[in-house]
Amino acid sequence: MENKSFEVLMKELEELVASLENGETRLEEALTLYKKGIGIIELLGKKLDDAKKQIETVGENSKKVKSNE
Amino acid sequence: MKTAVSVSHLNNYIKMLFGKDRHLSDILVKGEISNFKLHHSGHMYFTLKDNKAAVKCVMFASYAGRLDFRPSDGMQITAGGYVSVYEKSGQYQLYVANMMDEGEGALYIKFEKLKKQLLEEGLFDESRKKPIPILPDAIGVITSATGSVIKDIINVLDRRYPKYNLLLYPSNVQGKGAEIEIASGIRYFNEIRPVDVIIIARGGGSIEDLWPFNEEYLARTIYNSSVPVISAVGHETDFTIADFAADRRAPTPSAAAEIAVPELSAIISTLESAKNRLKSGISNVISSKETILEGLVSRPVMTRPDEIFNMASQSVDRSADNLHKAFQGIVVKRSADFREITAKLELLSPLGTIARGYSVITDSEEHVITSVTEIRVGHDIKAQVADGTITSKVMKTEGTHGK
Repeated sequence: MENKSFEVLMKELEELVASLENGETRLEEALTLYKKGIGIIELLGKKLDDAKKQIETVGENSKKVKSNE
Repeated sequence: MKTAVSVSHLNNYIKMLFGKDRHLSDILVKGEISNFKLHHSGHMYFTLKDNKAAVKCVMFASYAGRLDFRPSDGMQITAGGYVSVYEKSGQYQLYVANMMDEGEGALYIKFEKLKKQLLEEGLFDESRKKPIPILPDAIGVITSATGSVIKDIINVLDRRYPKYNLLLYPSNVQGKGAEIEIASGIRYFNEIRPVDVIIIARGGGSIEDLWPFNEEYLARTIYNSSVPVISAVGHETDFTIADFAADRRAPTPSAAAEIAVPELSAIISTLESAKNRLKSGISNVISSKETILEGLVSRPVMTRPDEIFNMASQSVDRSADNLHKAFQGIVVKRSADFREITAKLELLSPLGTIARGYSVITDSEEHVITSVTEIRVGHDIKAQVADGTITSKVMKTEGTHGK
């Protein structure tokens, strides 16, 4: 799950919440969905916390730019 | 005889005919400006001519205000607009919406031609456009390393989502060959350092400045990129071929940054709301199961369990009664049957026969004698009668058939 992108996890979370809200779910299944959902939220929160602002200059002209700075 | 129409009707009719014509409603005309007059209202009135002909032109203030050059007599221009009739004088004229000087005009025509060609080829098809991810792990920006564009983008990112990972591919964004550099950047972000979204951007400028973004080579590179491309070239009113080929056109570089990342606060509140929805979802499931359980628990058998026993024992009793009754019935019937059979038996019993005066003869060892051959003279025989036995001696035996 850790390797999935934020995007994919958000989508999974949305689907999971929707199927839990559907109400037809069996209790065991509902508990699994709930645990999984909370897990994803924690993971996403962690991803957000861990993310740091990064700016990098790349490509053929990058050296030229750096030497100009 | 024909009915006469008024002059107004005639001019109105001709105006309507002009309005219906496809060519006249959107036309480019090139020529030399003469009799140029800028009215104090801001409207421009002039004549456009070549060596054989001339046509009256008007450019209203709302359009004239957007021109980046000052038209004057003798200037070679290309004017775009529609042809209609000025009913008051019955004169047709060109209503100019935009105007380009000679060089610009040539580029504009080239632009329109390429746009049409690529459109027909399907390079701008909506169905081929890739969605822009909600939250990219990495954003590739291709623009000039100096200048306001990259600063604007960084400002927006800082404000919206201050945890971005931005890769800047510095590139010339104007001048000959700039499109090759920009295209190299797109390939770099596809092949060497893959990112989730690419922004190609530059600030406003003349059509010549923006020209690299109108090159076919760049349009095809954008089209072939597997990473979604946001194009932000020039001002809101500038459209380039790159804008059409891109997966998304942003009116300005800042707007491109807004498209590329969501607001962090919005994401956090989305997560919060997902958490709340999960919580209420699970408690709804649990409470609905509880309701079902309560329904079951509240039934009499669950609230008064002894009742089950009572009911069961009652039913055992009832069964026992039934069994007893059934057994009685069987016993009664069997005894009746027995009596009947006994009565029948009695009729057949030797005892009954004896009672009627017959007797059974046996030897001294109680073997029943049924033949004269079974006994000899001088032996004892016993005759069993109703109330006892009589022992006697055999005097003589005689077979019935002379034996």
